[in-house]
Amino acid sequence: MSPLILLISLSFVAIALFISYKEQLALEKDLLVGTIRAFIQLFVIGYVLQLIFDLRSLTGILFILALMILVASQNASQKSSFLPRSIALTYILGALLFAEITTMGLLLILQIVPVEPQYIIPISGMIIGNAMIAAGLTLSRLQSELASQKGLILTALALGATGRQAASSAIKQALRAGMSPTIDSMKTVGLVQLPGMMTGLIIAGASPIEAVKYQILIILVITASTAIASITVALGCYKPFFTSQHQLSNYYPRQ
Amino acid sequence: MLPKDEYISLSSYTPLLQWDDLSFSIPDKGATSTTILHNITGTLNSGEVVAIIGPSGSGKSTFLKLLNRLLEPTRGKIQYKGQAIDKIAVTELRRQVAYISQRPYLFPGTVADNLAYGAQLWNLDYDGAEWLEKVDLSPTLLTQQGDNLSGGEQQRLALARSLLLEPSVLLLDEPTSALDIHGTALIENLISSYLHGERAVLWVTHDPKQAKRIAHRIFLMEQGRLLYDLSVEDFFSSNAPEKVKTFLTVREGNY
Repeated sequence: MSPLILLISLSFVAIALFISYKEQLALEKDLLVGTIRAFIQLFVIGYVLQLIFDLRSLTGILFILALMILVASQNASQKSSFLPRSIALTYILGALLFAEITTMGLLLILQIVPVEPQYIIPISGMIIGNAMIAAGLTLSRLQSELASQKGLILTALALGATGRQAASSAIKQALRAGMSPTIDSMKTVGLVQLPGMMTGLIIAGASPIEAVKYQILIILVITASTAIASITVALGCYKPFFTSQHQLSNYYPRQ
Repeated sequence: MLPKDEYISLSSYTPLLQWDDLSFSIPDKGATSTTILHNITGTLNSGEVVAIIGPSGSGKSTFLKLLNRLLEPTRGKIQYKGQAIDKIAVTELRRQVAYISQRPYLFPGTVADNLAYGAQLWNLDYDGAEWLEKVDLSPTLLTQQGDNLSGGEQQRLALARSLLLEPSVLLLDEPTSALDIHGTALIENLISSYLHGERAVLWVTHDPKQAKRIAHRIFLMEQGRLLYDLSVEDFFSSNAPEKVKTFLTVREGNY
């Protein structure tokens, strides 16, 4: 694609700008900022990726992966309204790291994916991105369930349950919340919309069947990574809400 | 139901629970804290029912929760059967020193599921139908969903759920506050029949008449302090301390 054509494609933004102006939506500024940011961010990452692909350096790959995980953890830990950010960040960082190492590790060990940056980095991006969303959903649901089940949880503790036993229903709900978007999207994939990666492969010239094979692989890998991230976050993050003596801690969510 | 005077004469008056100089504070935002309970000392002896009365906000519920470590005292010592409670596994302590909340919280599921909750934690065999009969509920309710029960039925189910663990001490947090005369009488009889051997009850109530019916001793609490620890006869006698008389006058008129 020539740079000129890309510039001409800015006219699509002009359509959105026109609608915003005409209908007085006051979105013009956001639209412009968004467009400029998309251009800059994507070109920067494009050049960085090009550099790493050319260098084929392991350090480079690990650096990019570490950066992805850090940014994703930072983002997901914003869902922490009761747990101090630093504690949430620690658990989520662990969860995303665990999800990436397990799934990417398996892909590499089983030689499903070649040890090449142009495979490892985009697939990791999808693994980490989806794990990030799952981790955030799990954490926020865990907090809201603990808040709404407070009476029941105290009752369970009073009957002699441990914190883990008392929180088990909240943990289950949180896990379901973290995992179900991926499972739901598995059910409708291909019917409602073609996933971005598959679209990209087809546009870049791959046969649809080849694109489908990769897409299936990705869906399965993402299912595993969201499950790992959710369970790690849920089983880690409930702990600071209880004391070692199975009491509600000072962080325990209030309604 | 035994007349009150008989079961008290059967008891050996050994202290089941002792507490010494208990204080409890909660941290505020910043470096300060609010003290909920101030330097409370006393005992609960085998075979007796002690009523705790006092205006709302006087720290009655908080005091109960300290006794089975649902809350941790900021200061002071508690002994159960002569042993410091922090030397007893906290889940075991809670099984033996049961706390029953003002509002019954039922676990999702059937009446049978609710009875099973504590029993499963402790691997106990029990006869669900028999326990329902003991709390004046029909055994046919076993398969019913818990939330189909009326408020009074739910409270009796919650009691049965705790009583089948055979605790030695019952900490009752206004268990009849939402019940009518009939429901209240059922619970009072139930607790009387529970009280035999090495057992005792600490009963928070807002109703001096109820305290008179059920208790051997009465604690009057106000603003986090234990003002008086009196026998029920002294509490309602014409020689009672002025503060007791004032409290009773404000509550219910003359006694």
